[in-house]
Parts: sequence; C-alpha cells; structure tokens
Amino acid sequence: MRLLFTVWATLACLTAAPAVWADSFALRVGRVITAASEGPFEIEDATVLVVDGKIAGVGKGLVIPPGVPVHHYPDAVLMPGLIAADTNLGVTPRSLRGSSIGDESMAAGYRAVDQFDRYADFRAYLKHGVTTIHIDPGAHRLLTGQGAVVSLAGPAAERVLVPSSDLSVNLGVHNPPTDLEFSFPASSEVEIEAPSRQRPTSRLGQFLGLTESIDAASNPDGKFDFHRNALGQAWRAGLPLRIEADRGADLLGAATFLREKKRRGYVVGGAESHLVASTLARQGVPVVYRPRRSFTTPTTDVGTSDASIDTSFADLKSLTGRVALAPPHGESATRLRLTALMAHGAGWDRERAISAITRAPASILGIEQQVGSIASGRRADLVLWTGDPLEVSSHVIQVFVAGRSEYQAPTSTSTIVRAGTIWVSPDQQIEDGELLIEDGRVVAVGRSVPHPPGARVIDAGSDAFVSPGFIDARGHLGLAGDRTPGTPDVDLTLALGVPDVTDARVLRAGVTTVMLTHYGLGTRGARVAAVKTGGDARDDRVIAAIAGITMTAAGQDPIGIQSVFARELERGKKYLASWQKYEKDLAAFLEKEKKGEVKEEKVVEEEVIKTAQNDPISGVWEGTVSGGPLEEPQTGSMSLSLKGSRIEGRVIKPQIPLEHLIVLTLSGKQVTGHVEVETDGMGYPQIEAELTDDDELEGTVSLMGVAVQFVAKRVDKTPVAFKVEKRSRVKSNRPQPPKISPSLEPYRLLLEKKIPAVVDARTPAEIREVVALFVDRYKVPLIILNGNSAEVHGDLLREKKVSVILPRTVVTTRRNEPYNAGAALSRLGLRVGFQSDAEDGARDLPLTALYAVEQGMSPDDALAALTTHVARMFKIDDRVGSLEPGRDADLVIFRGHPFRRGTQVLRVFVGGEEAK
Amino acid sequence: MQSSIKDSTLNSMQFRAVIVMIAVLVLPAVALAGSPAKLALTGARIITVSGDDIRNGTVLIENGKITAVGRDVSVPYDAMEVDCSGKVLFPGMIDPHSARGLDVANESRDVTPYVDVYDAIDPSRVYFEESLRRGVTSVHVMVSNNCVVGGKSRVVRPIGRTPDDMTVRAEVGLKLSTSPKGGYDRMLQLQSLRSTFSELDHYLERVAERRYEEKLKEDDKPLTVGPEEARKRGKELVRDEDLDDTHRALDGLRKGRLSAWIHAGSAMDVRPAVDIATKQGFLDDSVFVIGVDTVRAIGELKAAKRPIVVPVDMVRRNRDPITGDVTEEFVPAALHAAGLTFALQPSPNSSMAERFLNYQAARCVRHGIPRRVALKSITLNPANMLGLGDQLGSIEVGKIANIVVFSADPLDFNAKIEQVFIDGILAYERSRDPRIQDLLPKPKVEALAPTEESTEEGAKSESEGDADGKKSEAKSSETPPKGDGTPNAPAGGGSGQ
Repeated sequence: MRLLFTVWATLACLTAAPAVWADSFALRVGRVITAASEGPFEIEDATVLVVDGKIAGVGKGLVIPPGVPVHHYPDAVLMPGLIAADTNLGVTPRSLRGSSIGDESMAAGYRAVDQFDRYADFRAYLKHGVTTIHIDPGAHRLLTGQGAVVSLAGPAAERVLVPSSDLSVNLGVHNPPTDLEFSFPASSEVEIEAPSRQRPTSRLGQFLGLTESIDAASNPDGKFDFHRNALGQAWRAGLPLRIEADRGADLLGAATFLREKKRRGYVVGGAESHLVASTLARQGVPVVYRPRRSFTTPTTDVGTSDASIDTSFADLKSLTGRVALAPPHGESATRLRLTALMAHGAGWDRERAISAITRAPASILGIEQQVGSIASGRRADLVLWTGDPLEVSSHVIQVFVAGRSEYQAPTSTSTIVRAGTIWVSPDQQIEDGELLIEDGRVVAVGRSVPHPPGARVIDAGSDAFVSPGFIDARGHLGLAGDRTPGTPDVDLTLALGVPDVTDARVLRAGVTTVMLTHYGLGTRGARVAAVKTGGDARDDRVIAAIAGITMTAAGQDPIGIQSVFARELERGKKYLASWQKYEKDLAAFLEKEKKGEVKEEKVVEEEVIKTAQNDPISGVWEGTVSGGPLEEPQTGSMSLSLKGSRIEGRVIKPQIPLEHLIVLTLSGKQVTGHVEVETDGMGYPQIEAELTDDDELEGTVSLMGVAVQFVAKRVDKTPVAFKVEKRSRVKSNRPQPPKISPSLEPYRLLLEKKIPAVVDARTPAEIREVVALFVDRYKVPLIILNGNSAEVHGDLLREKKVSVILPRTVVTTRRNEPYNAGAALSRLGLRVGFQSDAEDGARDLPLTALYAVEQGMSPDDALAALTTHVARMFKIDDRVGSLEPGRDADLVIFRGHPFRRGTQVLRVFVGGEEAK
Repeated sequence: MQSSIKDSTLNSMQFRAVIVMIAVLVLPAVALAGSPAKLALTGARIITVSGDDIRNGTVLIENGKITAVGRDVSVPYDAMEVDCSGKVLFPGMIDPHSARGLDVANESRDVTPYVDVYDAIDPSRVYFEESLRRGVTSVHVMVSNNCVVGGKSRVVRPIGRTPDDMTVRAEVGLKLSTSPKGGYDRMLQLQSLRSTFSELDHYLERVAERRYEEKLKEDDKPLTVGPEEARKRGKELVRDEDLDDTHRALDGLRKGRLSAWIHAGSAMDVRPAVDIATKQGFLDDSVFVIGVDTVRAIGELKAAKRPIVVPVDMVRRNRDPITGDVTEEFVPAALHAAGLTFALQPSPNSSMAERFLNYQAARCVRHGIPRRVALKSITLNPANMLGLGDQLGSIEVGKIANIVVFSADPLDFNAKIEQVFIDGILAYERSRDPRIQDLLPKPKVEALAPTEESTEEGAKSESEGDADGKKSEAKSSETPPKGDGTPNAPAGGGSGQ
C-alpha cells in the first residue's frame, strides 16, 4: 500500500513539473493576458491550447481534445512573449552597438542578421520573458545597414523571423570617426582611392545626404559600389526606415522625411517625443520609446549643458500615438518589463502598458500576425509568471517559444502564500497578509513579505483563511491496529514509513501532526511521539521521538495513586541524578580544560608481565585455530598471565606484526574478553572460551560476525616474562557518561521538565492526586488526559498550569443536559486539546471541533485547541502549532474561518510541500 | 655530414649554413641516393586503407608507382628487395591544410585571391622536415583562416630544393572564411564576401561587353545592340586570359578549377558558408574547415554533405550559462554519426602528441570511431578532398608510392616510423635521422673521470676568454647530453617515433 502510494505521489509530482512537453498541450492558468486587439484583453481562470507550436484556442472552459495533457497552474499568469523592438543585446559574444568597423557614411549592405548567433543560448533573456528582439547593425553611421527580427530560442533554422526588416538611419550622430582612408600601397590589384566623403553632421546635411544616396542608388552610374547597390535593392523592396532620433527637431525631421519619401517607418529612441507627441500622432509615426534612465546603477549625469537630454518616466504620460516601449538606453533587454511597469505607474492603463511590450512592438516591426498576442493562429510564444507582470515582485516561471518549453525557472524553495486572513496563533492574526516559506519553514509573515526571485506565489484570495496545521493531541495513526500496551522503552517512531493512504487521508483533513501513543495505557508509562502525517522521509516526519510520557491513573484507588507512580519516578530521579552528576563533572572538567589545568598526555605504558605458576591460566598455550574463513587449521601459541581475574597476554606464534594485547576476564571456567589491536574501526576481535579441562581451553574468536574456533593446551607453566606495550591512552580525568537506559529516558526528560506527563485521570479525586504527585512533589509539566471532570478543579489546574486533553467525545450528557467540556474548560482559561484516540479516524477531528463550537465553544478557542495549545502543552511549539517565523510551514488554507462557516479545506501544506 | 653536426667547431655563420644544408640538401640527398628503378618491400603487414590488410605481403614499386600489392607477388630479379618483415606498411599520411610551410600565414588585406602560396613556400622550413619525420608525405599548403578570400594553395611533398621540386599539384583551392578575420565583425566579413562575388559579376559583365565589341571590330561589324545585350552576347567570348589574377581565381571557383576551402569557425558561420557556396555554384567543390564550436550546427553540416577538416583540438567544451556545468563533445564522433567524411589535422604545437596524425587517428578510435574510418581520415579522405584520390592515400596498384614503414601498428603509441618512401624513393630513414640520432643516447658513454677533466678544461678555456675555438673544442669532447645542441629537434623524441 505504501509502495503504491509512493508511486502515485511520484507520478503526481511529475505531472506537476513536466520535464518533457508534448507537441500539443493545454495550459490552464489563473489568468491569461491575451494582449489581443480583438476579444477580451484578460481572462480569469482560462485555458490556452497549443497544437504543434501554434495557439489553437484560448478561453474559459475550452474543449480540450482527448489525449492532450492539461497543465494547471492555478496561481500563475500567462502572457505573450515580450518583444524588445530595440536592444543593445550583444547578438554575438561581442557587443554590436558602437562597433565602428567600416567608415562609410552610408552602408546599406551591412546586415545585422549576419551577427546573430542562431545557436546561442539566450536563456538569460528568456528568464525575463523576452522572446523576440529587433537587432540593428549599429548606430554609428548615418545609414548603418539592415536590421532584423529574431527569436531568442528554438531550432537555429527557425530563429530568424525577418532577416531584413528595415534600413537603419541614425540622426544626430554628431561624432563621426575620421574619414581619412590610408590606401594600401598601390599595385596592379589595388587602385588608389580617394578618401571617402565626410559624413554629414548637420540636420540639413543628414537629410540631404540620405536623399542623395537614395537617388544615386535608384540611378546607378555603372561603377561598382556594393553598398549603393544594396541600398537600391532595399529601397525598391520597400523596406521601412527605422530612424534613430532623440531630439524633438530630429523627430519632426524624421516625420517629414518619411512623408516626403512616402515611406513606411518609425522612430526609435524618442527621448523628446513627448514634446512633439501630437505631430507624431497626427502623422501616424510610431515611436519605439527608449527611456534614458537606469534601473541598475545611477550612472548618467545630465549636467547643465544645453546638449544634454533629461527625461523621466513621467514624460510617458503625454505620449499619445502608437508607442512601443524598449528597454532603457544602454540597458539590457531583460529590463523591458520594468519599463512597462513604470509606464503603468506614470498613468498608462494596464492594457496600454502591457501592449507596449507585446502587441505594439509586433505591429511596428510587422510581425503582428506571428507573435505579440495570445490568439488562435499565433505562434505559441508564452510566458508564465508567478503573478501579475505589472507587479514588481512577479517572476517568470516558464517560457515557451513556438510551443517548446525553452526556459524553466529553477525550482525555488521559496513560496509565498497570500490570504485574506492569516491566523498565526491565538495571539496574532493578520488581515490581507503574506507568508514566506523557505526550505520548509515559515521565514516571514506580515502584511507584505520579501519576494525572492523565482518564488512561487500562491494567491489564495481575500476570503482565504490560513491556519497552522491541526494537531491531534492523542492518536494512533500508523499502528495498524496493534494494541500492545506501551512501555517506556519502545520507540514509536519505528512504526513510521513514508506516508501511506491512511496518513494522506488524515493530512487532507488538515491534521498535519499526531501525538502518537499506544492504544493501551499502563502505570509504568509509555512514550508519546510527535509525528507528521506528511513528508518524504521518516526523518522529516518525526518532530520529537519522545514528546511526552503517558500513563493511566484511571480506576486506581486514589489513596494509592502516588505510590503507584512514585517507584518509576524515583528510579528516574536517580537516573537523572547520575546524568546531572556527569554533566556537572563534565562542565567542571571542560572549565578546567579551558583554563589549561587539565594535562592530557599520551602515555605509552610499557610493563613487564611475569606469569605466575600456580594458576589455571598463566603460561604458554599452544593450540589450533580452525573454521570460519580458514581453509586449514592454523597452529600457534600464546602467552597468558593471570592477575586476579584479569588475564593479559599476547600471541607468540605466528608473530603478529601489530601491537596487540589479549585482555580476558576469568569467571569460573568462563574466559571472555578481546584482543586490543588496531583494526581500522572494525572493533576488537572478541574471545569467548571455556576451560574444558585442566590446561585446556576451547572457544571462539569473532570479529564482525566472522568467527573461528580454537582449542589450546597449556604446554608450559613456567612464568614467561614479556613486555607489553599498552595502547597509548590519553591520561585524563574526563568523566565518563552513564549508561543510557531506554526505559528511563522518558523519565529523565520528564524530570528535566522538557516533556509533560500525560496522565489519564477522570474523577476529581484522581485528578487531585495526580496533580499532587506530578506538580507538587516532582514539579514536572502535567497534562490531564480525558479530563472530563477537570472543571471541578478548574482553579487548581489553572494555578498549577496543568493542561487538559478533552475526551474524544467532547460533548456529553450530564444531568440530562449537554455538557461541553471544551467550552467549559476553555472558559476557565485552561489550555485544552482535542484527541482522536484513533488512527485515520483523526480525519474527523476538525468535525469534532466544529461540533464543540456549535455547542458553545468559541471558534478561536477551538482553533487554538487544534493547534497552538496542543503544541505548547507538549513543548513542541518551536516547530508546529503556529505560523510564526521559524516554525515548520505546516498550514491549511480554508475559504473563510473553518469554525464559523464550516468551510472546507482548500489546500494543505506540510513542510512547505503541498499535499496532493 | 652527420659528423659536421656534432663537430661544432664552427662559427655561427657556418653553423647556420649547416642547418640549412641539412634541411635542404641532406634529407633529399639521402632520399635520392637510394632510388632504384624497381623496389620490393617484402614480408610486411600492409595496411592498404582502401581494402583489407595483407599479412606477410609485398609491395612492388616501379618508377615511383606501385605496380603490385599482395601476398603472392614475385619479386623481379632486378628489383632491390627491402626486407620489411615484422614491419607495418602504411600509406603516406596527408596534412590536409597547413599554413606552416609559408613564411607568413595570411596577408593583411582581406580579399587576396591573386596571391599564390608558390611565392611563399620556404623549402627550408623545419615544418617540412618534421612532417617527413612524422610520416606525412603530402602537405596541402594553404593560407590560414584569417582572411576573407585567401590565395591559391598547392599540394607539395615535404622534400625538394625548390617549391617546383616539391609540388605535387598547383592551384588546388582558395581559402574563404565566413568567420570574421581579425578586427572584423561578421557583418563586415560577410558584406566583404558578398561584395567580392557581386563585384566579380560586375567585372565579368564589363569584360564580356568589351570582348563583344572587340569581336565586332575584328569582324568589321557595326555595334547594333545596347550594353545589356552586349554583355549577354559577349559572355561566351570571355577567355581566361582576359581576366586579371583576382577575377580569374574567383572565376576558377565557379568553373571548378579551384576548390573552395571555406572556414566556418563557429556554428553560426555554417549557414552563410552554405548560402554563398550554393549561390556561387561551388558548393559541390567545397571543403569545410571547421572549429570545435561549429559542430553545434551539425544539422546544417549534414545537409550540406561536404567533407570536413577537423580542428586540431577535436573536443568541444560547452558551459551551461545557467548551471555552469561543462560538457565535452568529441567533434569527429559527431561528424561520423552524421555520416560526414572528415580529415584530421596534426597539431602545430611541436610539444604535444597531437602533432602525429596517427595519434590523432588513435584518439578517434578511442572515442568509438571505427578503425577503418579513423585511418582513412588521415590518408584517403584528405586525398579525395584534394582531388588526388586516384594518386594518393592508399597502397593500391597505380598510386604514387608514398609509403610509411612503421615498426608496429600505426595506432600503437609505441610504433616508430622507421622509413618513409616518397615516389618510391627512400626519403627518410630513422637510423640516419641526424636529429633523432642526436637525441638518442649514444652506445658508449664515458665514466666520471673524463667528464670531470673536460669540465675543468671547459672552465679553463672560458676563463682564458678565448673565442670560439678552444671553448667549442672542449664542449665537443663531452658526450652531448640528451637534446643538447639541437633545439629545433622535436622534444621528447625518444618517446615518439
């Protein structure tokens, strides 16, 4: 069953983050921004169908053909790939702009597409949503050549959308390079050429120069001139003019020039276009606006010179005509979205700001029918965002170019949950708040939290209610019906595996933690383990292997209760005392060591040992070793000596090259011990032997599960003197820890006040005695289990800070009246918790709480009794029970307060991972 | 002559003269000395490359051509028999593309189809001597890649006193490059290439027009058509001699007289290369000279189906821009998988094993390319690319007798090149190679005493401050240590062939 679940869970994960995308697929997202000129601009909860790289349909409730996979991103926003109508992108490793190769003033023969590496990896741009760009041949000549429009991903053969998109004209290039051309020494092959003509620099000269060139190209004179021929071809082909101009006068000149030449075209740069906006709009000259401000570094000083241009994003307000936005002057195309965002901030409406980086540039570049909007028939260039692209903190999740997944954000460990109410703890609730989850922990919670790059944003909505994961104060999940009574030495977490179906059932009800106990309770006590219902590995599931010690006082004679538990508690006290002594000694020792008072010296002891005569051991023993891995029996001899019951000796034959010492203990006829020898961490060979007769020894030597038998006879009783070089020891007085006793460990933790005692006490007398014993006498934390009549001692319990786990049936009938223990005890100010006393029956725990609320308990008290109070009474509130920073990201999202409207669980997260 | 190397009682002028003499005279002289009319190499394993290997076979050479190959070839009475038993005969290897025979690799001008490597081949370059030592019997000398259109290339033997002596075939091909020349970007590079051919069209039209008018004049006919028509009609009348060097060479590409060796150093350069070659009609006569990065455009290379000259490095290292992981790809393996033929190049770096073509072939085998393909890539493939597949590249009847005698299998790292035959003459013999002999330890090495003595003597003569004479004498009496005195000899020669 567990295996099956694992497989299912793995498959579920795979479909959530598909590595391979089919040719046809559908994307269902929280919102689609179509940016289309017809139909809705934005659609909530819509689906986009992609077939063979093209968009085949978009809308709400789209019919998906059978077999087409649907990928659902309920929190994401989908928009068309961004188009940068102007870039300074280094289309080859070396940057293009500012290239000053060739010193012709008119060089229509240069083609920007030649520089474009169709094999390059442009994921750095895709990462910011940019899928299509315009590349120009530089801005250093009056006429630099022909621009191109290219895709930043996809097969090399498909990357160039328009190889020759325009003729690139640059007005206001006031600083031309020198025009002196030094001829190669003349030869039969190289004629002496006149230096090329000075480039026009005045406005008048620029337009005159352009007109002259165009006229000359249209009427060739028979001399070969490559660039003139290229200009002629381009002009005849009707290539639009792309006029780079910033000054208002140049912009007006450009508009006039276009009109006079009856030529399509647009202006780029346009720093002062807000000054001449009405003229440009009237004459229908589109603007590719490039802000002259920097997002990355405050670099450019404007100064006081007349020649400098100062612009601000606020200027965008007055731009009225067709405008596409470009990345800021000198900045990477990755900042394209930010310019749209700033335009929106300057007063553009959403539709215009988004269109200015999608449909508008597509239309200006003449590729509107291919890209720039999400509509049937367009190429599937799609960008999936974590949230609204006009929100600064949004990030790209995935980018598709022609239906192929070309970029996928690295799986971020950060998740942000946004909700109308975040119920952090009984003491803190946040309205319209955010919660940041990293590495499975709540990192921040508040009205707004940091948005790390790539973070997934779950916008649960304004009516969503986020609460900490519920805790079952006593359950048996995973015991699979095992009703063996518990003992204090049994580690319950050994019963855990990867979560199975029963775990998932409980988890989906919102119960993320179970205080796991055995079914049966005794008087010796049994462990309580705090475990989670979800998690990938067993270690992830265990919050605390010993979170409490539970026992029953129910049905005991109240007079004898104290003595019943006192025995184990006394043993525990002694055990604790031994540890405390050790800790004290150790602390004292460490303090000394720190001061340098402890001298640790390595002592190699050498001592001469003489064997005595009249004992059953001392002397030389000869014998054979056989069995185990030995193919043939081996003979050898050893010398042993007896001192009291301690035997020391060494092997004489065969000679062992290692320093070794046989250390044995004689007890009766039994001889046990080991050989102290360096074995690289495999431990010492263990010897177990028996004196079978006078001077005869028989036994085994074993190491790492391999054993050999030996039989030896004493051949010489005369004392043999030999030196034993003892292993070097660190001579120090470092205290040794006491032996760990599994059954007393829970008591030690209890007496150290690290865990509570959970005692089943039902009658007022039982409760009184239990409190007297645990709280008054031993001063340990106490939880009364099934404390149905705890109300009687309400004041006592509150005073002694004793918590209560309510009986599984919270509302009972008392004197023919319904009695709600939860309501009653909460009202008294006691900390209470709900228990399931079941396995996957814990899934009904929220209903129990709901019923308790219906019967008079406050909704927030019920929520606290399922979360914070239980965590606090078991002292695991540093991990679970609230959503304060540092706690595990175990949370449940409801549509509204769960105990006000009876709303259902929407989503459950354990350790930051969503439960499926 | 050999003794003159060791005997270094020479002044520097004389020493330089000796070096030149060794390079120019000694080796060819050695070769020419043993050139009988008929030669039989017997008892060897013959790797024919074109067919199966022959064990214990004989190669019969008459007048520089192979006349018989096989097991049962009877040796004529008048043939000089060379016992090659235990040896391996391999076709002379071919360096498909090298500028190292030239004094300068490239012109500084970008378009120079009018130059010919003939004018720049320096027969005394150590490169030729090294090629011979490494079993390379044909070198395609061509300008390097730093150009737009380079000069005319030729295939030469690494022996001979003059470029004419050395030449196997002149005017083989022209180098073109779609990767930018130094200081150029791709826009300028490709503009320059397009402009070159567009100007050629323009030039040819003018010549045609002139020729048509001349023809009319000769025939005393009046000119009745406009220039457009004249250009069309005169097209057939254009003769090669009417063109200047530049345009004749460029036109030679279109006419198939010259093959185009197009350098595409990066993946993005393949498409323009294919486009230009297709448009100008010489795609079928072109060879692609690629860089390691070019293999990313394997689809376009596959579609173009052109033979390829593999870069020396042969391994492409690709760094993922996001993760930073580096992956390696073996270029010839990718070419082989795409069904393309290719030729390997030896490394110009004389301190690496890659300078041996047979080592380069062994690397291919190591990366999973079949042995037969790897061996062809250093023999028959380059021969075919050079249009010399009928004369070079394999041990077959009718081919030029360029044969390398290996001591073991050529792909064995311990194999030594013992003899090299070019045109059937013994061009190289390891046992008589002065540089190698100098590097190898001498059989007799004197004990400590004389060395001490000589050191003293040396110190004394130095203190006396006497000129060349005594000092050199003192040195010459020492046993020359390994590698001393021959700085140009291949380093580590003891470990190689």
